[in-house]
Amino acid sequence: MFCKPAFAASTALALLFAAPAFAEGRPAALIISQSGLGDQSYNDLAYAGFERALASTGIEGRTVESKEVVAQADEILRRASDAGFGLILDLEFAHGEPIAAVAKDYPDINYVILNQVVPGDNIASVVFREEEGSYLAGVLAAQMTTLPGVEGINEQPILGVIGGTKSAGIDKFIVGFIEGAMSVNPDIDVKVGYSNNFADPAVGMQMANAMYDDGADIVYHIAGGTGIGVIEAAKERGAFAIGVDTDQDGLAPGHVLTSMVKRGDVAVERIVADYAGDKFPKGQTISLGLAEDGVGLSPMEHTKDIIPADVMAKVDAARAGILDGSIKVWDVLSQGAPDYLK
Amino acid sequence: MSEMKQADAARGPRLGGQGLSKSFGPLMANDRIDFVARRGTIHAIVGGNGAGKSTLMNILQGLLTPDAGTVLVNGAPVAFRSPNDAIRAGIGMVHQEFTLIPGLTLLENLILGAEPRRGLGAIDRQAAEARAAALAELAGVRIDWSLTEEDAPVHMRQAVEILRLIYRGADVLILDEPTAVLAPPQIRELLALMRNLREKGNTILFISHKLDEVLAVADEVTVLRSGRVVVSRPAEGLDKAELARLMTGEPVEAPTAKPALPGAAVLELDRIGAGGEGAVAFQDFSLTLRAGEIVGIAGVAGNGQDEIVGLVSGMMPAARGAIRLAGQDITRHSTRERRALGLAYLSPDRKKEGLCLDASIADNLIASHQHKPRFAAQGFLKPRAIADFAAERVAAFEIKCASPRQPVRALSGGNQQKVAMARELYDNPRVLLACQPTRGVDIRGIAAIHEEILGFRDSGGAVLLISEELEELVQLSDRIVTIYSGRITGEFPRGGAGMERIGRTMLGEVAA
Amino acid sequence: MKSLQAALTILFPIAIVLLIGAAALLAAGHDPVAVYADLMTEAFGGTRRIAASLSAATPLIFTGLAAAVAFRVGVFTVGAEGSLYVGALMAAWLGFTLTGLNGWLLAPLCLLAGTVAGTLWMLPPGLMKARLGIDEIVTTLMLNFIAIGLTTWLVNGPLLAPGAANSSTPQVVETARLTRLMPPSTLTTGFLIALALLFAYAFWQRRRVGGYETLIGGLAPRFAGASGIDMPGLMLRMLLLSGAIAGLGGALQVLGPIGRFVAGFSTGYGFTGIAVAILARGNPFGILIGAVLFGGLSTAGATIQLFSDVPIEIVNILQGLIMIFAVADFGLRGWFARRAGRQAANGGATP
Repeated sequence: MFCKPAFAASTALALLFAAPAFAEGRPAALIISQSGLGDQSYNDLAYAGFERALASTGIEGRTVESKEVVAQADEILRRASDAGFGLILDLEFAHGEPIAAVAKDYPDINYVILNQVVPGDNIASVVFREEEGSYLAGVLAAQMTTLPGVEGINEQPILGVIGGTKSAGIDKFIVGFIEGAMSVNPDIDVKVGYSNNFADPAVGMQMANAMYDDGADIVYHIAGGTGIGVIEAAKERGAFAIGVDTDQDGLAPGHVLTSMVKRGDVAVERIVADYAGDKFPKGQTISLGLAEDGVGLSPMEHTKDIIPADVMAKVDAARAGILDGSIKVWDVLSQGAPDYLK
Repeated sequence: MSEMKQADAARGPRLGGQGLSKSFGPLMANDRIDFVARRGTIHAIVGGNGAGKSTLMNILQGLLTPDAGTVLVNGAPVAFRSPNDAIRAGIGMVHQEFTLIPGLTLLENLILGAEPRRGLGAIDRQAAEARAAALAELAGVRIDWSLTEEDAPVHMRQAVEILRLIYRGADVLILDEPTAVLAPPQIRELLALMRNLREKGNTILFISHKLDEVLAVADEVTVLRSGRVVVSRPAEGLDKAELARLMTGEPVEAPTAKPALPGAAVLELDRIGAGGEGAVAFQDFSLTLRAGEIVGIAGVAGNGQDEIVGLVSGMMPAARGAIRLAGQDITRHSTRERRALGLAYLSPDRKKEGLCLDASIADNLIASHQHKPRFAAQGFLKPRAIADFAAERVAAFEIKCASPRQPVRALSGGNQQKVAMARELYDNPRVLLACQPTRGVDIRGIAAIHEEILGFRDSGGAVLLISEELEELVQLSDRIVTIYSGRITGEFPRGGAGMERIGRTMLGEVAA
Repeated sequence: MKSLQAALTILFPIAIVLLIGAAALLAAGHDPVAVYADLMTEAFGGTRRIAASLSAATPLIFTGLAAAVAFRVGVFTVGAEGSLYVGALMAAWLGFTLTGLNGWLLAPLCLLAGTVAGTLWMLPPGLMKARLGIDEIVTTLMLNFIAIGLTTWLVNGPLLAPGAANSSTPQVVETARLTRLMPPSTLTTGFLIALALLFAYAFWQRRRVGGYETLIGGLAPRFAGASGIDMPGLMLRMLLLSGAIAGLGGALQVLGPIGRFVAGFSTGYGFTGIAVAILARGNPFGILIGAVLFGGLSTAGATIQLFSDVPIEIVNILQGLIMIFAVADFGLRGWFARRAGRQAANGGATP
């Protein structure tokens, strides 16, 4: 088959190691992306979901973390495939092509890739409708930016958004945010900037401060580590930031208006559960949005007291509109960039 | 201590040696040396290179154990087993290479390793500053203790090196060629510092070959030559000429030196000048060297020798004037181009510039010849040819080694220098620039090297010989040119002047 | 004989490291013997694992050699990382831009471009060193930061793959990708190029005039200058060569296992290469051993997690320890040399 005799020994060894797990179903492997565990974001969240799923399904699982995850993509994927794992979840974005190639050679193993669509009979792609959650953030921010009597808020209808890079994947968030803001106030001014970097808080701080200087009082970041600087700037200026991916409200309590949470943990948990229940979505693209609880706003622990009920009501109404289909949020991936962002 | 006893002690012997002998193989570096340095005096140890000064100092410091004889401290025999024993006996040495640590201030350097402490072990800065100030006052020098090592001028660093010994409790200070690194005004300051320390009861062993300085400060002088004490006496009544004669001995004409048959001019220095970084102004220097002659440059170190070497070898750019080699203007030529035209260069710094100690004998023998067709074709080395050449040279120059593949580091000083000679004399150079060719070489090695130089001259080569050994210059040179402060002060044909006269012109007196 | 000596100088620090690592593993509640056995299996247990280790070793051979050629002449560059990055980006850019070109033409063109980019990247520090005597450690280190920052900016902006959310260029066209030696392993012809380069270096060291001049120049720069060797020029040339080798290594990584330029694709190959070069003392055979060692460790470190609970940190610690011991031993050699020098100076006798 796919194991040459020469490898039988090491494979047998591998089976020996993982033997107890095979009682119920073949084990699952989670490949951590380059930024590694401890990123307090994407990887940590997915890992938490993985652990929860293993506990609830009884499936055995392993996590692979390596600084060389990009260069050794094929080697790691094939090693896991040879070693008898039945499900391989891959968080590394650069593994798109390698996973397609490897999956072809192991038709009886299930692969999962996140944040991109990779075709393949035994591959499930998970994408998030980040534009929906961003839309809600925009609805909230557009109302708050002119709200009188809130410390740190000026009367000008100006917002800011900082993306880590100019790409469709990031513009998806930005356009959702702008659409939401414009649904509240069509004349609102949303300043857009790109840091061209996901790991430099100093740059994030600089850019955020420039936006605050120009009259913005709420800045949404989709810039990973660079965004930490945006939140830091909000705290220093007494203004507001909006976090992304995980609930970042606690990073500067009272100065992070909300966070657009992307539930990688929910996605991983669901997929492992499906796999355990023999319902693995082979060859499918799973799109997670508000309806699936794949994206959404944070509970706003530290800011809910300053947000008036009528503002929240409008956010809830927008959510309902998206859920029932009466509101269609612009999706950059399928529709391209709107005119105002070209 | 009563005043009577103090006065007694002030005249008593502090440090000395009795019958000290030390040999390295066949070389007798120290041969039954006797001397006494009295408390509160400056005692100069003078002698040429290879006279045995370094060996004696290493014995007095506990770095070497004498084969025979004993070191005397306060008149009593002692046996130092390590430098620590010497330090405990109050003996400290300032080497030519300083030991201060860069990045630390002078004050920190002073107290390093023996910091005054307060209650909890914290360094007591105030106490340190007070003691530093007291030391400087005692020595009569001004020191900015807050300067870092690299920012402090060289004479200040040297003063700190000396004061640090006193800080550690030394009262016998061995100063090894301390003026070598200093400019004339700084030299005067150092001599004043030495006198001050003497007045405070310290004993100074002053190692030097600069006769002016010795006569200016020394109370007593011990002259070494070839490992032996020539004389040990009060400085009073000595003059420079007498001292020079004692140092170098009577000049002996080398028996092998046939009369020179000078041919055409091969090396011409035409009013050259160097950029003014050195201590002396080196300007308008002219000299002509003919085929088949040896021209010796005599002078006290630092009077232009470095400039001549640098300008002729091509390692120092000429600011003015022209240099011609075999009629061709080489003023702007690189070292490699000059070598291609027939220049050979025997460096005074054998360990760093004359050889690559960690490379094999063979590799050292082909250096500067590596491009020649015998050793390489199209950039590919010819290992067989190189091995044959190395074996041939090792045999011809009687280099004592186990194999030409041995690293040069494993050879004795004399054999190392023979490797350098064997390389430089290969392929019929026109001009040999030979600097201190016998420095650190034993007597038998010296004879062999002298023979090679003379042989090269007899075969039509031109030699520009720079040496601190007046004896060597007189033996080898067909002409001696004396330099002082970057100028030529005299020119003497072979046998044309006594050592005394040459010595005087070396010290600035212009020969009529 | 020389090779045996090189192997021993490398294996000795490793033995010490394994002992220290065993203590750390015991303290953390792991069975060191079992963990080491797993690591061995994952690194070298079977042809496919060996291929994976050799694949991981390939970039390290290039950076190790890049460091070694400069160290040989006394230029202590840390700039291989920067050259690797610009070489990789250059190869990737041509590789996804000139899609119309035949693969047999495009692949060599990409490699050449990467080599040239890596070479030119070392030109400023080389000139500063040769002409002005400016310390190369500082300049090459700074250039690393610039190279990483610049390439990251480029792949987040102008060269970003359309639709990609992370910082990478589009894929290099398939025809320009290197041939895999043992499919499906990512071991490519890049490894053969690395081996060829090592052989060439071994030959050059001993048989070329340049090898001779760099040996002398590195051991005794003043002597080399007095012998007519143009030391500043030689240092410049070797630094450029170092950049060329690192740039080629980066280009091969792009055309080989990765297939595109991804920001941060190098996990510090340039710096690991310095450790490899020091560990190997510049010996080509030693560079091969060192690179395979580090490569095997990184491969095994990744996949051992599939079979045991050993955290990746323990592998990182082992790598770090080997690097420390490589340098520590180096310091000891220097000390011996100085001591020998002092004895010679004091006694005039030879040790």
